[in-house]
Amino acid sequence: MRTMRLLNQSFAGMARNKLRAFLVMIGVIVGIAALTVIVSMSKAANRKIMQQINNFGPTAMMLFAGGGRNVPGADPSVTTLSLEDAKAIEEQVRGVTLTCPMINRSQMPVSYQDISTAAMVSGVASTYREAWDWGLEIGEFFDEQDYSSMARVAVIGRTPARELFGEASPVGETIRILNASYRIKGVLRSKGAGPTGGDMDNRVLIPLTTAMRRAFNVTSVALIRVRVGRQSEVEPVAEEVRALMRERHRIQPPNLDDFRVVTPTAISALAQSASGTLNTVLIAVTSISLVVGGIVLMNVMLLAVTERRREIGLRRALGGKRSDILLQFLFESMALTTAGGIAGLALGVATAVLMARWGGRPAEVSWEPLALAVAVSLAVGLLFGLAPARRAARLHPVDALR
Amino acid sequence: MIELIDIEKTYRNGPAGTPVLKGVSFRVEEGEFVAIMGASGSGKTTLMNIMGCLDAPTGGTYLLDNTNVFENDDNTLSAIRNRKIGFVFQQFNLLERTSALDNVILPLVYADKYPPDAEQRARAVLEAVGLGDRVGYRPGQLSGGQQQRVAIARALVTRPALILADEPTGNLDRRSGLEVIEILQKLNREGRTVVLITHAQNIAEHARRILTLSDGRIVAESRPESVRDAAREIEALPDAGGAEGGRP
Repeated sequence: MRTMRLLNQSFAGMARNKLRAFLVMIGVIVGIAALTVIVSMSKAANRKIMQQINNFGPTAMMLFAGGGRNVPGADPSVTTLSLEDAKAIEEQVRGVTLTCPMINRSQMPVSYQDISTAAMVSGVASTYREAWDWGLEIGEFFDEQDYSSMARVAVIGRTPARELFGEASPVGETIRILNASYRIKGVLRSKGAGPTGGDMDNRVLIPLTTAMRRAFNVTSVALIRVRVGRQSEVEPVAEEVRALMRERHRIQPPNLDDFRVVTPTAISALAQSASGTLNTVLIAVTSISLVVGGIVLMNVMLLAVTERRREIGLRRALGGKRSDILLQFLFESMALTTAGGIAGLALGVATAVLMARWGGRPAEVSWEPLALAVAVSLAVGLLFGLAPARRAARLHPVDALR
Repeated sequence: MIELIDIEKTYRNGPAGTPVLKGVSFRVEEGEFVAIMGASGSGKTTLMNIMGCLDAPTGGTYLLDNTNVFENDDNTLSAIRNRKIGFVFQQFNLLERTSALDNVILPLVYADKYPPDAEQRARAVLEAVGLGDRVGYRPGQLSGGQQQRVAIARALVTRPALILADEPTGNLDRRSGLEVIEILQKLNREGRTVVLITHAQNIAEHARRILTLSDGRIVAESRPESVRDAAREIEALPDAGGAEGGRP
């Protein structure tokens, strides 16, 4: 009851001078709004990273041909990786459950009758489904016979299936790749966005043997996917794979690796660096706004202490202790910043939602920004309200009443 | 109940300082109505600050209810002001934009224990000063006399031992001033101790005992043969058309 009366007076104090209250609040509003946007966006970004890691496979790594700064697997002229490498990894590195050598050709024209599209064409080993935990939506995968006979058969992803066949079932139909016809055996389940943001579903699989001997005429593979049993084994196994590859390819310092191992950790680092710049800017905006807001608050409250000397003296005469005066002015400061914080929260949530809708930046609204906004606002009010409140509390009642 | 023994106050504003009170001694018994009269510069505001426990003397002893007031720390002084003293100021000193009721409740907010019946008590004292129908009004909506009556209600709400009124009529017209004095006289008849500080002889004559302060000393003490009665003086005033209103 007593506290309510004091709080009530804090809000009355705020209403006393609306322009000043607004000036104090504007810094806090901007600061908290930026903070809310950061939290909303990083939450969404984290979720996206998690999804990307899951798509990549948390217990998998990729061994790409070609080292240095090559974009992994993009250069078909790199021929350093072989089927024997895959076999050696599977047999010699402890913790490896299976490997899946692959050849990738991106943006290949694929056509059905007079419709054509571009997709990544991959020659894949028979371990592909286990290597990627990727099942079929309809139809079936390649069998032993397909591999041994280098059959012209294909399993296609959801995207080319839609582009070429619409709602109709592609199974049993024939598509053309590089002037050769392939019979479709099945369609992969949809996976959505890939680790680097690409469309995982835009692919056409053909047997690895067919790809090497008949389609692309190569003896090397572009990448080998390596699976391990547990997530904690990924990094140590990656290190052993690197060591084995250096040994097999006879690479010694100062020569650079002619391969690259990519793990889920590297994927998440890649994804985080993308949202990092904007976050840095927003964190700067938050800090600067809150400090500016705090300094304005401090000055406004110092002015208020001077203006309200008689009131302070009166309160002391009526029995108010120094601590009562201190608390009253602290309450007023915190009431101002909290009001600003709530307004900033509303602004921030609106901005995050708009950015998600039109800016293409995913944002998630949740309870965390609310808690953070209230906590930060209270902290700013407390921190910058302390000096004016102390000055008020220290006024001598006689001087104040004069 | 109140005893000042050789109270001195010197303001340190130079090598020698300015002596304002030079050894003031007097007693006020419970239930008395005492006026302290003095011209401006006589030290009466300083005396009032000391009696109100707002400012410590530089010498002497101040006993209130047999306790040596200025032996206490700041928090205890606040508590003493809250429990034992009701202030009435010349400037009213009401909180703006705050209802009469909330202004009167204010001292209770600072009480050791916030009484559960605070609001009823505030209404009762507002009733007692004739403002029962103005509880929701803000100072700006009240006349000067009414504002001072709110201030008196505020001084009464903690049931203090001593009402300390510093020039309570200084900012009021004659009728409103007399109405304030009338309330103080009524409170005194009900048993409250009232100390009235004023520069005006005709106001001081409403008290049963007058102490005259001059140049920091009590120079005279008198008991008027006939104490003025504010209620009768109001009746004798030419009718002002009931400008104040709200009075029975």
